[in-house]
Order: sequence, then structure tokens, then C-alpha cells
Amino acid sequence: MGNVKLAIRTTISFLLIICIYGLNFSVAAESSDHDALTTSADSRHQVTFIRDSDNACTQCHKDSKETRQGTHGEKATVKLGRDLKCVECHNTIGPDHRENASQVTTYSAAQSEVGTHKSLLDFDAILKATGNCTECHTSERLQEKTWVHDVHAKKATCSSCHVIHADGEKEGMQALERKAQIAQCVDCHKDFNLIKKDKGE
Amino acid sequence: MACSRRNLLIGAGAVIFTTGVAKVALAKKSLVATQDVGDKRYGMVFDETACIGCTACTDACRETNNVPEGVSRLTIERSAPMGEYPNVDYTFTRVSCQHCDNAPCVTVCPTGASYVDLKTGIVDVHSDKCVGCGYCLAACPYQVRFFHPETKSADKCNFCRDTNLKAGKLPACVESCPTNALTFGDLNDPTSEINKVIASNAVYRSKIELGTEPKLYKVADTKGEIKR
Ligand code: SF4
Ligand code: SF4
Ligand code: SF4
Repeated sequence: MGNVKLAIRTTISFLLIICIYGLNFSVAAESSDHDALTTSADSRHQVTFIRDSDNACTQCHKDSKETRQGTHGEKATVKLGRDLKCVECHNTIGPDHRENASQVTTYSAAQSEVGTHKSLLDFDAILKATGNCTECHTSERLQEKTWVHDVHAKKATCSSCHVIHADGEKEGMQALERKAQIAQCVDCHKDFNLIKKDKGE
Repeated sequence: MACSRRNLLIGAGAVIFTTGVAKVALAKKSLVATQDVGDKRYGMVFDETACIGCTACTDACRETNNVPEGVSRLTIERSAPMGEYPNVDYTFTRVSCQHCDNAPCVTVCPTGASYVDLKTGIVDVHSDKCVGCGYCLAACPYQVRFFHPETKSADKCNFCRDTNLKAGKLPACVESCPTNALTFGDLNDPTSEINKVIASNAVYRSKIELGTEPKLYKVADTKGEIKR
């Protein structure tokens, strides 16, 4: 019996010694690495949202994100402080838009005067169509860029002159030389005149 | 009383005199734009209500008449914006030689370099006679003359006399305008297109009070300030 008691006592004291030694060790470790430990402990609880909402879109519209870079790429990211998402412009998207895309906002050329190539919209419809663009590209900013924006505000949609999903800046108004830009004015306005002439006005 | 021979002669003289005067009065053409000098009197109408300010005309003029950057025979002046978004509007006007019938630039030229071509009424410059004194630049009330950087001669619009007109075409600016804001033609021909446009629109000419008799007519835009 005495043997058993002795054995227990020695085991307990042995364990105690190990515990004390271990504590010493961990205290030493904590004091030396204190800063590193607390920071890593804080960041462990920060959850960053890394899911890309554009991921679903780019599964089918494979190039669309790259082709957008020319117009709404880096500069837009800097201005907004974040990446611009597909649905910010193509809003009103529904879950079954693959069926016939009827709900998605898309952008196309349209004007208020009868022409050969572009479709016709009235003033209100054009202003509604460009509303999404003018939220960021405000009328003041547009006027600063060029007076031409003013005179077309309710007479043509942005896409009549600009290519938003451009191949870099090789397409659309900004990419053109002065002469080619004027040719764009002439294209439509000559067309209007020819149509009027045909009608005998 | 018998009609004496003397009275008859006086009466006959009076008849001849009055019909003669009437004939002269009738011969004077009634259209404002015509005048009995020269064969042709070329003029132009600029329709401010049609111009969209695209400046296709200024570029066409540059190319056709070899006008380098920095100077210009033709500019389109745009007004300040009028109105609020989305109804902002502008007016445009043409700044170029008015081909004055009574041209001060020709009167002041000491060498005869500036002249009116009597066959066409076009005011032009003999670049080889121009000595570069600059009198005409100062005398032109419309401020449309300049020194050509290459020829060093005074230069300005000459209705494309030596380029497009010579080739039997309309002036470059007229050809290039997408809205038909420009009409060119003979003011002496009462049936010409230009006389029709002048007769059927409210036209004005700039600074007529100076007596320059300009041949550039403008269809007044009703928007914005009153122009003169
Ligand atoms: S507009 Fe000037 S340059 Fe032209 S004819 Fe008149 S005065 Fe001369
Ligand atoms: S008529 Fe000829 S020279 Fe005169 S502005 Fe037009 S294009 Fe230029
Ligand atoms: S080309 Fe015609 S519409 Fe264009 S600026 Fe000249 S006059 Fe005006």
C-alpha cells in the first residue's frame, strides 16, 4: 500500500514539475512574440467577401469583361474606388434571362429623327435609356468634354456614337481622329437631309 | 386752236422723254440681290437655322485650298450654351470673306494685289503682287484676312475660284456641308437657286451700314441674340 502512495506522490510531483517547466516556456514565448501573436489573432476574425458577382456572367459572356476595360476599366476603378460590376449597367436582370433576355437593360444606338440605319425613339425614351449613364457621366461633365453632348442629350443614345465594350480604345468616338469624328456627324445629318429631300420637304 | 408744229414737236419730245425714263426704270431689276455690273455676281447664303456646327466645311476648305493649320479662310463660330440640360442649344455663324461689292480691302491696297474680278464679282488677291503691307488686313471690317505662311501673301476665301470653281465644281465648303446650310450661285441670275433662297427666307448681311455691300447673306437664326 505504502508503495502505491509513494508512486502516486512521485507521479504528481513529476507532473507538477513538467507543468511549471511548460508554463515557464510558454510565458517566455509569449513575451518575446507578443505583437506578432495579437495581430494574427485579430486578422483571423476578419472575413473578406471574395466572391466575384461577375463570375456568373463571364461564364457565357467570356470576353465582355476584357472588352469593357477600354472604356470602363482602370480609370473607372480608380474613380469609383472599386471594380465596376456587370449588373451596375445591365441592371433589371432576371434569373431566366437566358430564355430571351427580355428583362436585361442593354444599350443600343437610337435617335429621335428618322434615319436609315438607327432605330427611332422619342425624347423621353432616349432620356430614360441614357439615365443609367448620366448618373456617373453627369450633364456638367459631359458639357465640359464637348458641346456636342448638349445638343444630342435627348436626341440620341450614348451608343449611337460610343462603343462601350470597345476593343481597347480602338473603337468609338474617343479613338477617332478629328476628321473621322466629323465624318460621324456628317453620316447621320446627311442621311436626315436626304430622307427629307426624298419626301419633298 | 390748231395744233402748231412747234407744240407737236414739244409734245412728241415729252412723250419720248417720259417713255425713255420709264424704260430705264423698268430695266432696273427688282430683285434686291441683282446689280448691273459684270457678267456674274457670285454670292453665298449661310443658313444659320440649318448649320449644326460640325465644321466639315472648314476642313474641306483647308484641304482644297491648301490652308495650313493656324490660319483659316473659314471658321464656324459657336455661341455660348443656352438653356438647361437636356435642352441646351447653341447658334452657329460663318466667318469668312463677304465678297464686298464695295470692298475696303481693295480700295486700300497700294499695289493692286487685292482686286475684284469683274467677270464674277469675286474679291481675290494676286499673291505675286502682294508686298505684305497688311493694309487690307486692317481695313477689312469683317476681320477675315490673314497672311499665308507659305506664300507670305494676304489670303482669304476666294469662293474656291482657282480650285473647285475652276474645275467646274461648287466651292468645297458648299459641297461638304451635310445639312445644305450653304447655297452658292449667281446673284445676277434671277432664276438661280441662291436668289430663290434669298427671296424665301429672312436674310441679313453683316455690317451693311458701312456701305461695303457684302455678298454673303445669312438666314437669321431665331434663337439667341439678335445678329447683325
Ligand atoms: S469681307 Fe473683308 S476681305 Fe472680304 S471683300 Fe470685304 S473687306 Fe475684303
Ligand atoms: S468658298 Fe472655298 S475658299 Fe471660300 S470658305 Fe468655302 S471652301 Fe473656303
Ligand atoms: S458643314 Fe454645314 S453644317 Fe457643318 S459647320 Fe459647315 S455650314 Fe455648318
